Amino acid sequence: MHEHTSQTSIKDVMRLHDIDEVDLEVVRKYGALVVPRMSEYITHFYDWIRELPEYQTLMANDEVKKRAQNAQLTYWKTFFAAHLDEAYMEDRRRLGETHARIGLSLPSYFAGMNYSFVLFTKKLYDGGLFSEEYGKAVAAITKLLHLDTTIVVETYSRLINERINDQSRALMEMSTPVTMIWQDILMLPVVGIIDSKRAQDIMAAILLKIAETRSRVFIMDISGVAIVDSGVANHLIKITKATRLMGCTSLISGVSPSIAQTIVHLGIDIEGMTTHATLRDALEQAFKSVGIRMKRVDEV
Amino acid sequence: MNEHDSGGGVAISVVEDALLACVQSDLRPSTMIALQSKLLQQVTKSAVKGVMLDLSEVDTLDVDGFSALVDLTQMLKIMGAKTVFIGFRPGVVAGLAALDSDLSALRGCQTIRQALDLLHEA
Repeated sequence: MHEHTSQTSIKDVMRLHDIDEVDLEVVRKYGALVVPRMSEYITHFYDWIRELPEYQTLMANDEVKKRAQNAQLTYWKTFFAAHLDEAYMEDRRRLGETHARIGLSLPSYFAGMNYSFVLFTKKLYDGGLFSEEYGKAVAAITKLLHLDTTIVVETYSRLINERINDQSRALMEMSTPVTMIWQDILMLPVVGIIDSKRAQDIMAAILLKIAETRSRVFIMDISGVAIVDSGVANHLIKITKATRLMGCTSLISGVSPSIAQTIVHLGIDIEGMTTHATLRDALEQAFKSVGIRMKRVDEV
Repeated sequence: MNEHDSGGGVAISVVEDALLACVQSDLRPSTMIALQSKLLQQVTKSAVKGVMLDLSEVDTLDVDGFSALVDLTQMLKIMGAKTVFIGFRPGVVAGLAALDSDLSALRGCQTIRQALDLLHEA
């Protein structure tokens, strides 16, 4: 959907916000009044922005501040020039990207836009228009401002969503750490939810590791798995059978009472699966099947 | 001599009381038939207790190929020989699992040592 909306043409956005050439003409006319006083705007705006909690972190030094001010000047100049084309839209998208990257919050962005609006329509207004004309100009500016905000916010939220997706993917990849805990014994603690994607990841990771290490026992600890239903049980059975074909026995450990209850109540057939209540039991079983006996050193 | 006559790229040797068959090409239906007849004949000839099939050179195996292997296992069982597969590739196994094959129909392992242990298990 995001891919789709990012393709929206400027015409669609203008239709969406009910902006036509007449509105743009009004904006341009009003712009002729305020653009010459842009430096005043910057002064007022930065007096105000200093009160924002994010100011310190965002405007770290004068250089950054200078760049931000220049960007802002260009922004408002193009705004009042009101030539809406693809380049205009691209500009707004880039602004959204910048905001997302530097971590400017949406509330602050909205507040800033609102304050700019007030500055332009009240403080910098010198009364040089008839009241009817003034009303029209304010309405047109509002519309155009909303259009801008829409593009910026859309880009902003798309980027934030992308970031979240990337993070969850990274988390997913980190979440299958198959480790060799002893010669011939592999172990994987599973935490979270097992869905078919995750089950596939686990399967791929464990099979590769078995081929690599030629291990004979694989312990999967599911004490961190929130929900075990028939779907999850099926995934576990599949993994068990697949490892068996690679010559590696799978042991499931960390089966909690509630998981045991669910499995029986749902009538899930777990034949061929070896399950243990604790990791300790599973490890003991694993040692036994690879032929290792653990002994206390002080025992004779 | 064409591939069919040569046994389809399968080398068979005897290890202890078992046969070791190394499949050196992909398991096409023709290879499979050759493998089948060759193994069954060898089992009769040398009276072995088990058969080890090395599949480490096989990178693709479809459901038909898999069920042909299951059939082969059944036939060898009727002839009194256990079958153990060596070196199934991770990708092959993951693929078969995704296709919902009954993976528990075959016994597998990674080394010849493990295979011999499996054959000597009760």
